[in-house]
Amino acid sequence: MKFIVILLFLKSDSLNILKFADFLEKEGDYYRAVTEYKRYLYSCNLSQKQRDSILLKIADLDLRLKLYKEALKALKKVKDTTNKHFNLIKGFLFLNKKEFKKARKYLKFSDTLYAYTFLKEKRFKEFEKILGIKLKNLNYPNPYIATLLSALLPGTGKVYSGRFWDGLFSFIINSVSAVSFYNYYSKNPKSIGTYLSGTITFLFYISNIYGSYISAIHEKKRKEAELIFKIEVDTGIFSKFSKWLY
Amino acid sequence: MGKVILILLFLQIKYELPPVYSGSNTPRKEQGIFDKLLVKIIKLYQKTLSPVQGAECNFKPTCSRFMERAIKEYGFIKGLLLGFDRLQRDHPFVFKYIGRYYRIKDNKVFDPPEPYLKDEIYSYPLILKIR
Repeated sequence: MKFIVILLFLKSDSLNILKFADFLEKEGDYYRAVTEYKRYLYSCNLSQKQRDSILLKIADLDLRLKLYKEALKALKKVKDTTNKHFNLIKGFLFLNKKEFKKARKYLKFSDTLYAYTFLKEKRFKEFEKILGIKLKNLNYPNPYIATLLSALLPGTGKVYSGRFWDGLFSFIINSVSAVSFYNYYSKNPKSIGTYLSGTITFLFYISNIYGSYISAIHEKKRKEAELIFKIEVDTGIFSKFSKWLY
Repeated sequence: MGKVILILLFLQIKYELPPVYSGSNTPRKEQGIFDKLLVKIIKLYQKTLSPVQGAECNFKPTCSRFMERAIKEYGFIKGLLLGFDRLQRDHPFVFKYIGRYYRIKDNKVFDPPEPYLKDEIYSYPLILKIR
């Protein structure tokens, strides 16, 4: 009985629900906005077109909240799959899930967005081919060279990766710990100080090599990300679709 | 040295798991004996030596906290290496890298270990430039 009363109440208040959902969306309270849109969908007899538009709104908000499963669920209920907005949301959904082939299928209506999927996949040559643009050459530090340099002289790998101060301080710390180990060793090779300083020196040395390797990878990825971001801004993708991307 | 390790093994220092970083989606590894031992040594340091030294670390989370969390996230070897690498990165000129590698949080250089070996870390400075 209570349930029926609630349903009746919901039905009479459906327009307000939609207004409230829109208000929540504007306020940035996407979680509650989705709930309200779902309530509206459930409580009103809507035409298929209206249903589709509400479902697309739900998918849009779920995508902003990074709830990909929920967004996909909402999109599966949409009947009109030829809609451009539908393809856009679905394309960006797969793009965020890093399923680039599927994303391409839905974003092929726009050359820029189609090329953008290649860019996100870090297939820069394909991107250049489609849009006829020449990207600037990125000078990546090689992680293996950084590792080798760090193994030969601590700190140099980090300098090579573009972190001069990290490299300098790594060199100082490694040198100081190595000298202290040598001092302990020359006094008494079997003292606790020798073992302790030896272990610390070894750990600093190895961690510096590992750190150099990682910082070279970071630098490469950072440069790639910066390039992608610059293209996003230049092509207008950032201004239009940053709500789904970031 | 062995006795000290044994005493530390039997010391029951209670510790709480840190709040899970929202960007971390990978399930955490089960902690082994060495992981637990190292975490206990770090905890011991945090309770005894760290208050004497004061808040000297330029980073947030601090180096000891970073190592503790790195061990929990990536296991003993990677966690230990990342922690020792962090110790070498903690120098007065680290603020020069803000916007490039790090961002500021509570007047400290924000550098959590959880996204360290993942892709998310690179998006921080880029978004900052626009927003």
